[in-house]
Amino acid sequence: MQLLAALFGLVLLPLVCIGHPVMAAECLEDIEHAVGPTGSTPPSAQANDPKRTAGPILRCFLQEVKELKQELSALKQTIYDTTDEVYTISHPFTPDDLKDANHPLSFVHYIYADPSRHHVTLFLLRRDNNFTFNLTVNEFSLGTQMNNLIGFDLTPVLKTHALKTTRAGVDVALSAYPPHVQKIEMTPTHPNWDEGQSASLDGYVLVQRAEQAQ
Amino acid sequence: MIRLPYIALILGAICANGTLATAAENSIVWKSIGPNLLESADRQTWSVKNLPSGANPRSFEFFALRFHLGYYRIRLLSVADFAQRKSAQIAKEQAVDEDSPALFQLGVRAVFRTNAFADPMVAVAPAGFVTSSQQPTNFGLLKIDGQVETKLVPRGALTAIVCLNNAPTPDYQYQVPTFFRTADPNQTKLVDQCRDEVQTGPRIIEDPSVTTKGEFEANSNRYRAQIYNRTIEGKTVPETVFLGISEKEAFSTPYLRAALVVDDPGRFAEKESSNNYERDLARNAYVVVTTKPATLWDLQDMLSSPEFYANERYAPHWAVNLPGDDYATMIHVSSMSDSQQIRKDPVEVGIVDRRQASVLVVTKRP
Repeated sequence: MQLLAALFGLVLLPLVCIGHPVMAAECLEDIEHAVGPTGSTPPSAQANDPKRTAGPILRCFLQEVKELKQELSALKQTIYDTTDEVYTISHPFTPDDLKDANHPLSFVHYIYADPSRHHVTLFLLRRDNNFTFNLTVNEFSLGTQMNNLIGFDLTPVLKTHALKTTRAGVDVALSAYPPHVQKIEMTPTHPNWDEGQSASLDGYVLVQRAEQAQ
Repeated sequence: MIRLPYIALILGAICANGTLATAAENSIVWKSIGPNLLESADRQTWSVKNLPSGANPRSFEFFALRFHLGYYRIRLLSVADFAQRKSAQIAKEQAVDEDSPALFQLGVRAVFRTNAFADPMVAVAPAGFVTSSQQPTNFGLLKIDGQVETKLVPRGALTAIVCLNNAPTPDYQYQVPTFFRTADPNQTKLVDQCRDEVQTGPRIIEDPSVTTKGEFEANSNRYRAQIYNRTIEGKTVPETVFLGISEKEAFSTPYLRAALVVDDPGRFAEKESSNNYERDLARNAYVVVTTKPATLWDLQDMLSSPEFYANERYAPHWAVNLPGDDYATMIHVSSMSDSQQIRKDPVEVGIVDRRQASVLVVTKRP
């Protein structure tokens, strides 16, 4: 016990004092409570009575560590604030990718979002060259997009058009999706290649908790 | 003094039980848009008449085209083949680099605008189902001019193989389309013999020429047969209509729908009075596309009703479902003269740029 107290006093206490001065101050106050008012007992006597000091101090520090862990855990959960998921998008393409009529240049993303609880926002940026693109959500066409999409709210369309278990109006059990899977499809059109022989459609889908996001 | 309220009472009773109201509401108006019976019914509403108990009352909106198969014909076109053969015209029409065919909009509008045939274009509608939007090949059997483009899928909901020409002899003056059953081994030979065919389905009204009443009676839970009364030269002629859609479909998810329909118009040849006596006998074909969701039951209700045909001689013959949902689309001429087609302002229904796998093309016969 003396060894433990010495170790605590010489090693851990300075470390904790440097790392978390508030916590150290609080626990030192606890020492005063444990040993009585300062000056009522000679300092040499306090140090020589580890039974009186080590227990309360250790308990104090363990409690403080526990609270810190909880705080850290809560902090980790709120590090993206209200964001539950970010799905990144990056689709480079070249003229060679456009040579087959049976393979339309189409980029598909499946995301998880419950439109009754989530707010879904799309950020889609054309890169390297100018082009338009068709946007389809759960097989529902949102038309040809002439400009970059910055903070495009997908939530209303997700609420009205869920992904269906169908092949062109004929229900197919094998086409079933789990609940809240959403399909986002992007099809570049009319690239002009003025800036070179490559282009890209980049961005991300932000899935946030609805009550905080709106 | 007594007569007027009495008449009012009778009229009130008739209207109350829905007879007059339903007839007026469901009466389809066919408008002539070209010679030799080319008609369209644009933006009409059908209130479903026969619903099983527990199903909610409902209606849907649709467009339809009706044409005489003696003077118009249906062709089948693979969209992939069309894109390859007509790439220069499509590229020019759509202002896209010809070396980038993946950027072509290959829906019914592209086929309508870039006619792949020598005959005047009348209409384009979907034929076969698409494998997926990223792989827009035909799903199921597609055979064109005897060449198998994609293979038959023996199981699943695509229970019909529409054969565009099942005439008894090759020199027939008109087209006799029919359909075979995908899973019927007795019809395998017929499927093999047909030169232009596409797999689709489900079957909405069965073809009575390949159906016996007995098989419906043997499985009355699955099929129903109903009597359809038509009038030919003042006489009521009862016809049996074999319904392919079961009652449970009335409770299924409604989608936008498309259908290919062939009627029995009750035509008789008048040899002495016409040079075209043989082709005058031909049936009428219809392409129907809904613009409001409907179940297959709803569609069957309409296609087996006299109000849809709006002609006392006509009776239902057969009907099959075509690709629906986003693929339910059609484009047709708004009017057509005897000599040449007027292609300005065609009637466009649904997403006309939606990539299709194969299409039905209606052209005018020479």
